[in-house]
Amino acid sequence: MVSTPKRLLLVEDDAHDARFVMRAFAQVDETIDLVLAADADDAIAQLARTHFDFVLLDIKMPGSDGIELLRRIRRGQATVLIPVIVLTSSSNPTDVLHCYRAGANAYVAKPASVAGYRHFAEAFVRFWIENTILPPGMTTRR
Amino acid sequence: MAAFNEDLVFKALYETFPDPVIIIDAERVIRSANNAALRQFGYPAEEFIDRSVRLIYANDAEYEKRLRNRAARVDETAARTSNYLYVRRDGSTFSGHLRTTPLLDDQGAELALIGIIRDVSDLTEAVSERQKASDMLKAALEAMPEGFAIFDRQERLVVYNRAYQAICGPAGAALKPGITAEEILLLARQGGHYPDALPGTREGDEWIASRLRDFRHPDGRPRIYRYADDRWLRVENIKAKDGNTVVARVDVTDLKRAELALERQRQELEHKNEALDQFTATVSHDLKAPLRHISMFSEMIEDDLAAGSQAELAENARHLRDSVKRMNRVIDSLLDYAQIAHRITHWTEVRLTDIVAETLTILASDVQDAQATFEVGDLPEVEGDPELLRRLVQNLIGNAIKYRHADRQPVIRIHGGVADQIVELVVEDNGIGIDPRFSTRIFEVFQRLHKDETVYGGTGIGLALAKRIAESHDGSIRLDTTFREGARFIVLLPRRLRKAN
Repeated sequence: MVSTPKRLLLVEDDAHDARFVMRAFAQVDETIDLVLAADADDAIAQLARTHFDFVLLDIKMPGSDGIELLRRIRRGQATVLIPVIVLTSSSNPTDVLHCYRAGANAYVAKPASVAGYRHFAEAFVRFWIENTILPPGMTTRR
Repeated sequence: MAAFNEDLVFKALYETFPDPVIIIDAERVIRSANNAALRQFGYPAEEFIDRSVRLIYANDAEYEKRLRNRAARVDETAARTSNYLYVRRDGSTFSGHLRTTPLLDDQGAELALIGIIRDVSDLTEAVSERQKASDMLKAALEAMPEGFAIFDRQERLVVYNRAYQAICGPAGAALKPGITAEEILLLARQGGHYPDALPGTREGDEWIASRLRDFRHPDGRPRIYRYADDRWLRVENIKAKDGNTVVARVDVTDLKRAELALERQRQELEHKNEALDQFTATVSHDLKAPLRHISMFSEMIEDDLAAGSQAELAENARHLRDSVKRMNRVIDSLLDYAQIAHRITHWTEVRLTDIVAETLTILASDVQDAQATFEVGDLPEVEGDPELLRRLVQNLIGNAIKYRHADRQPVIRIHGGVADQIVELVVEDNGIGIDPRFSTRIFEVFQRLHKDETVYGGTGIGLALAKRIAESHDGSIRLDTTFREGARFIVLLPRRLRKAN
């Protein structure tokens, strides 16, 4: 199945973590266009400017900035259906619940190894990009 | 009916009458006495008859009292008004209730006076015993700290003690037997005695109605009500079998205050626990992040070495070192923060003007780099720990310099004042400002609004530290969200933390 390259917005305030994610995706699928936003305002600006197929969102514990951004994405008409995958260092069940309530499509704990990041990227591509069963309302067309 | 001689009947009656009977003439001389009288007073007839009646009175005062009462024609039916102290021949005395009947001639002139004297010493003693018991009860009632009163079937006050009067507050002066329970409640309410029933409020009307309901139909459960001057009283109304209502009032202010204090403490503790949860969550996040990075970078270095690739080796090593440094900073900040509470040891008079001057010296190079201008107004003195206050001021001024606006020259104003023993210190700048949404979050540990550490530096502990210092001085710090030019922080500190001793 051939499709157009996917655009992925990574919202991550930690430069190191951002580097790990970008590195892992570059190794797994170099066609993915990964754009970094260092904070919520930046992310909103990027989303307003161009289309993204996915949002990878860091939710910093315990502040609510990531959650708040998630809610804004869900409120925005153009962004309401974008799959948002939460990537965070917290594995607290309450936080997981908060994320899903705010409209997250998936929740992933930050890996603690290079291999872990690669596995995450591989799984992401397999599940979200190559999977033919798409979430409702989502199309493969740009 | 002439079968018997009436004179004989009367004579027999007179002689056998159980109470002493004495007949005196107009000169108040004893002309006759029955057997009972002779027995009672212990005289043979010849020593009793023809003596002045003064003989039987215990003393002149008693005799004169008798003469006065006779002239005033007091009511002799009651022992209370016609009671005299009599004396026997042997000198012993007794209380007697005297009732008299005059013997009149055809013209109504008094020939003689018949007196019946009933020995009431037992009764008198009983009455005095009862009086004593009643006095004791009254004294006990007066002495007891609880308010006590009895109302009759018509809800009228019958008995009350001093404590009850005091408890009635503004209605206390109006208390007298006969006043109704409702009148007392309304008077006290009018005088502002019930904080929950202020005059002219509907809630107050309902409160009074519920008090009256409880008075009229007590359910046996004491209730606690708030009274003026922040006092609490336990009110208990008891319906007695005879239809009277007994009311008891106990001042439970101390108990209630202890209860309220305990509740406040519980809430405070709950907040502290929440804060602690928040704190540990943040801290573990901020400690775990660099740890994770260290692990990652060392793994990457390993990979680089295994692959013989030099390209990223140096960079990864640098990142590794940065992560270690960052972790170090986080730990240092944490220690700093944790130690504040234990560092408050010496309280002195602190001149905030000096504190600001010292801070500007310490920050001199930053000030110069930023080309910041300062406008420092008159600052008050405050009691506190100079070292901690300096760090508070340093954090605020440091932030004001750090978060300057790229397009304009930083101007930082520091001013203050004293009002109602509260010292105000204001630090405001014309920098990038802070979104009002974050006005409380900025004071939490490790909450940085500007993620890029390379631009703004710091671990996000400065304002949390400032808050902790302000609070350790029983003060507070807040962001003035109405100020739009930049950021304005307002620190409030009590002028004196402890009373001068």
